[in-house]
Amino acid sequence: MSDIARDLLIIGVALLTSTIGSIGGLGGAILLVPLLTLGDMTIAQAAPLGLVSVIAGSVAAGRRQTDDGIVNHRFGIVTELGATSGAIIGVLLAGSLSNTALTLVLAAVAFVAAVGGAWRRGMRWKPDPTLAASEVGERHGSLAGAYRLNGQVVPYAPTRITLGVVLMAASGVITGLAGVGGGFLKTPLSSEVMRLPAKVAAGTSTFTIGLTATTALLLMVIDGRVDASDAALVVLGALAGGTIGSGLQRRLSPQVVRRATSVVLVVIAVILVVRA
Amino acid sequence: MSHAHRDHLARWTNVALVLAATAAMIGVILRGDIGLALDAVALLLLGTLPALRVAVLATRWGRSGDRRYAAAAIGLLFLMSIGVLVVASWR
Repeated sequence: MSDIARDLLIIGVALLTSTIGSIGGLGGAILLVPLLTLGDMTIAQAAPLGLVSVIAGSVAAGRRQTDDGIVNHRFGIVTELGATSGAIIGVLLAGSLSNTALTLVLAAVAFVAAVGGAWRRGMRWKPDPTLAASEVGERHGSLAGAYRLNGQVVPYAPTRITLGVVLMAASGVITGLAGVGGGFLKTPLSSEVMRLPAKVAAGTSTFTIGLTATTALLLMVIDGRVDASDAALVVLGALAGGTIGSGLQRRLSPQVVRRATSVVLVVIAVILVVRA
Repeated sequence: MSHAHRDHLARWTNVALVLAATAAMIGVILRGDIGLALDAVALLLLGTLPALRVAVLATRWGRSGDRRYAAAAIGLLFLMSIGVLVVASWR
């Protein structure tokens, strides 16, 4: 394969996986890394590129999602405190458990989350016609907020925060142990356990996975594992993918976002089982 | 977060994104040492954006009197820094 063809293929694959990742707030790394290893890359070379794609996709999608009011930054930061604490413990414990067992646990969690998301019918939070467009966004001093849906304003107030943060910390330990990003656990935990609307869960998860990936990428930069030339190709693809994905998410109904997320979670579960 | 603040954050992210995309694009086209330097600039811009966003939010919430969440944001940045230091020195 020529250099130009290889470069275009990397850009194209990053674009595709970031588009899919941005719709459901799952990140694209768990799809991108296995695809890159089908070519001439090892997992050690592809893993930093996966993180770069998550950051670029997160930042690109975040621009539109912040503007639409579907990122709850307060919720993201509170839950990320648990996830980051867990991830640090997980990284420090890495190697103490069987990788195969861990990967199978991740696959099982992704599958259960997929079934949970697909099983639920209808919308948990209904539009409130008394609310004006100026009410869209997050509330001062609270984790509640409102988002825009088909020209109407939908208020929401997440619940079971303590349980959610504990579960986020547990998912952080597992993802830190297994060395994977946690987007595919964060979105279902936010929407199914803490009852955030599907679109807000996806937008907020897209924001927080960028933070997690930044920390992990910094460690890989310290280790000298990042190839800047390949990373630039991934940046180009993932920036476009994040923009396209957030645009698609804006047009899709919450039910479709939830179902699409479930389908991708099943694909992720299958990839994890194959890798195990 | 008010609409004006959301607009401001989105515009601010947009500028950084355009700069990163331009640097990456020129870096890919030029190759060589200059290309590699531009690739690194694109990575640096993108890599610092998520943490910068949290820092901006912490400052904004602190100024508007939302001290609990400002403290949470600062705590998260602190935790991320500690995490990097601990893991980097542990290995």
